[in-house]
Amino acid sequence: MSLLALLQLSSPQLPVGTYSYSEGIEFLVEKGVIYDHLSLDYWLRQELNYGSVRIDCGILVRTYQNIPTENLSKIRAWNKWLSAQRESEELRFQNWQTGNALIKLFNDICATEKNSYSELEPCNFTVAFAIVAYHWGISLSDAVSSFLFAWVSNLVSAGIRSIPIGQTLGQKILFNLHTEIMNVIPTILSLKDDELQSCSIGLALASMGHETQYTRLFKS
Amino acid sequence: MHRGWLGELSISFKTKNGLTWLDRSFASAPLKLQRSLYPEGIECCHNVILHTAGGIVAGDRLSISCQLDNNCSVLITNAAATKVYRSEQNFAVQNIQLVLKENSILEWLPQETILFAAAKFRQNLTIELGENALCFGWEINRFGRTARNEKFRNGIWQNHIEVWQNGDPIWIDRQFLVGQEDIARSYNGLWNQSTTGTFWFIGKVVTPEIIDSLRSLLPTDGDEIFITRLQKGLVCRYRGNSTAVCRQKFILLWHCLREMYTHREAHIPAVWQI
Repeated sequence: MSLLALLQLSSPQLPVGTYSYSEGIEFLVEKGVIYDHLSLDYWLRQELNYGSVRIDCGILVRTYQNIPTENLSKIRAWNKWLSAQRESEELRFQNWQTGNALIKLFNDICATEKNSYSELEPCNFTVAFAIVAYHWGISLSDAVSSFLFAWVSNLVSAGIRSIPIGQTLGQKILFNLHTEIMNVIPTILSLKDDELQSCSIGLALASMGHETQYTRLFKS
Repeated sequence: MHRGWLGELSISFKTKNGLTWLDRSFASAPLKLQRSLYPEGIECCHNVILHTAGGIVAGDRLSISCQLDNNCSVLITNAAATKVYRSEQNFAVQNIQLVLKENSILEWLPQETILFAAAKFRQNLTIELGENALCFGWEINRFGRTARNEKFRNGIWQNHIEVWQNGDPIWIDRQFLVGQEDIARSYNGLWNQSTTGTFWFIGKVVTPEIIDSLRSLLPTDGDEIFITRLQKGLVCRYRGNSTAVCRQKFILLWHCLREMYTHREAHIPAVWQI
């Protein structure tokens, strides 16, 4: 059961709109920083090891752990914290749009009145993901690995469209990053609150730069 | 062996009849506060923090706290760039707490921080904003003494900035940079540059039109500098090779926003010697 739920939650077909965002990749392609499968792979690897996505996972963990005790005020606080942490307005809006869409989807499919979470709006995607994962019976470590998998596959897809590269090369990057994803998970699961930090100057600049990029395939 | 300084500076400001003054001040070595200045008139109280030991070394724990009472207007900078020396193991820590009560305005404009190779530095800057309070601020950091071709190898830099209002976070910036080859070279990290900077203006919602007009102030000369909106303010990031250029660009933004939100003219503190 939970395996199928996990596949559904991390599927690129989940209709929440992550497909429309490139998290700076479109800007990096225009700038010539990312230009082939290797440079895309490298960007993603560095982000996994030092970037802001680690903070996302840290909040995923904290949200997930507060659901069984129905500690909504804690979840609300981490949701606000994450909104205040986003590196750019674009990234904040992306997280809110996709997060609200995911909560709505969850409510349409299976929520009861008791766990509708609609008072979290605007809800960050990470927080919504943790909520759905918990209620669909997905374990915490599976939730984190599928969150990272979905994140990587979305950005690989953004790379495929903006560089552009072929689908097979895209699949190759994704496949090669499996090990990297699994390797960072133990660290992410053990991050203390004051270790929620990242080296995200490059992401911040790329995403801020994308807000004013002249021609864009991807949303701002 | 040097055990490290436990330096403390604790200051608070009050205002009456349009005059803001330094009400209380406590300083312990190596931190000191110079006598307040009023180069722009009585409204805005200018202050210069002095680090008398010449630099921060491993084991130092410095703490600065500053409180502005309702309606105060204060500008704070420091007398010189802050140097952080190398360390084998121990961190140097600086905690800064800025409390801005209702309608107060703080301009927090320290000179740059130079992190020597193998420096290990952790800074926590927390700002508590009262209703209608405004904070202008920046951080400019150079990684390695580039004039000597030094690189920031084996260093660790941790810089946490948090701004809270009524118990809610309005901006959280948790930067972390380790001095190693891949981070120094990759676009994710330093992109072979030596300097990063962050400018913020926080306390009021800034319209997209204002953001556009600020963007048009910034020359496009190759350095990377971008602006984005916060939920209640804005943040600008710089990455390039010059702390002086970074400061110049931040001054453009600061002056423009200062005029717009406080109706004060452009001003350059004399201590900067620029």
